[in-house]
Amino acid sequence: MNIEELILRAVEAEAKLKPNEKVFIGAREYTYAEFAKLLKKNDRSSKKLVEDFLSIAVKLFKENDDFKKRVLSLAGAT
Amino acid sequence: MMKAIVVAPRFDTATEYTYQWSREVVDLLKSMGYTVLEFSGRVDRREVESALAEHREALFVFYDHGSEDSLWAHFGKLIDLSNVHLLAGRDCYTVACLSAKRLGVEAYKAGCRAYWGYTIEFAFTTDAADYFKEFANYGLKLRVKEGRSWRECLDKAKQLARQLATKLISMGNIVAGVLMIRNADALVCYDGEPPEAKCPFRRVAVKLFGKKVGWRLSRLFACSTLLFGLGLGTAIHDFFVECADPLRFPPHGFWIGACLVVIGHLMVIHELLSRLRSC
Repeated sequence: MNIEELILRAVEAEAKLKPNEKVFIGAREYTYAEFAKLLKKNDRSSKKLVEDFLSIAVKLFKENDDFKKRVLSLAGAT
Repeated sequence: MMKAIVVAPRFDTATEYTYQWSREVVDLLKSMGYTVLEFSGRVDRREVESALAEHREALFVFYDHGSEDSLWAHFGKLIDLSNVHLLAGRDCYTVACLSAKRLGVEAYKAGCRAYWGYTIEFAFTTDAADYFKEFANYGLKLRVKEGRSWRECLDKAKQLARQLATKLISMGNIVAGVLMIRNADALVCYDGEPPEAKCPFRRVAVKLFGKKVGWRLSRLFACSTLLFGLGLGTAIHDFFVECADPLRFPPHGFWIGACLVVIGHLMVIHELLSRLRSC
C-alpha cells in the first residue's frame, strides 16, 4: 500500500469517528465521509483540491513522525 | 480617529461561522479605539460602496465568500473589478476564498496599501473551528494590537498555522491539520509580498521601476509609451531621409511617426483622466 492509499484510508477512518462534523471548502459543505469519498473519487471538479490535499499530506507523512504515526494508526497499518 | 469598515455577510452555514469569527475582530478594533462601521447579515452593495467612498483611509475587513475577481454577499458580487478602485489607499484584510488571486492583484495595482487574502478556497472543519478562527484572525490582531508590519504579520500567521496544524495532528485531526497548512500556503499579503508577475512585460516593468511603480503601470500606459517611442523614432528617421531626398515617394514617414506620437499622447491623456475620475 502506498502513502496516498494509507492517507485515504486514514481519512476514511477519521470520518467514521466524526459522523456529525463537517468540512467546508469555500462555500461547499461536506461531511467527513463525503470528503473522504471526494478524495478517493478525485474527479475533474475537485482535482486541484485533491492534489493539494494529498501533496501536503504526503509531505507531512514523510517529514512529520507524529502525522505518520497517526495516519498509520488510523489506517490500521501499525 | 482610526476607522474600520467591517463587512461580514451571513446567509449560509459557512458564513455563520465566519460571521462569528468576525465578531472577535470587531471587538478588538473597538477596544483599540477604532470607529467601526459594520455591515453584516444582508449587506447592501451601495451602502458599502458609499462607506468606502466616504472613509477613504479606513481599514477594510471582509469575512465571507469570495472568488478570483470578487468578494460576495447574499445577492452576488459586493466588491469586484468594477469597484475595486474603492480599495485604493487603504489596508484590506479578507478572510475569503480565492480573492487574492485576481481581485487582490487589481486592488494592489489600483493603489491599495495592503491586501491580505487567500489564493485558493479557505477551508475549515467544524470540529476544529476555533483553531481556524485563531488562524484567520491572527494577522489582523498582530497588525492592530502590536503594530507589526504586514510582512511580519504574514510570517507570524504562517508560523502559527504550522503550530496549530501540529497541535491538531497530535490530537488525531489529520484532515484539519492538512487543511490548516493548505490555508497557510495560500495566504498572501500584497505589500508584505507583492504579487508574482506572470506577464513578461510586467516583470520587465517591475525590474525597471521597482515593485510599487512596476505593478501599478497600466497596459494602456505601456502601449502609449511604445507608440510614442516608435512614432518619435519613425518621425526623426524619416525627417532626415526626406531632408536628404525631398522628392522621395511616398514621402509620408514623418507624418506617420508624428501620428503615432499624437496617438500615444492621447492614450496617456485618457489614462490620466480615467485615473483622476476614479480618485
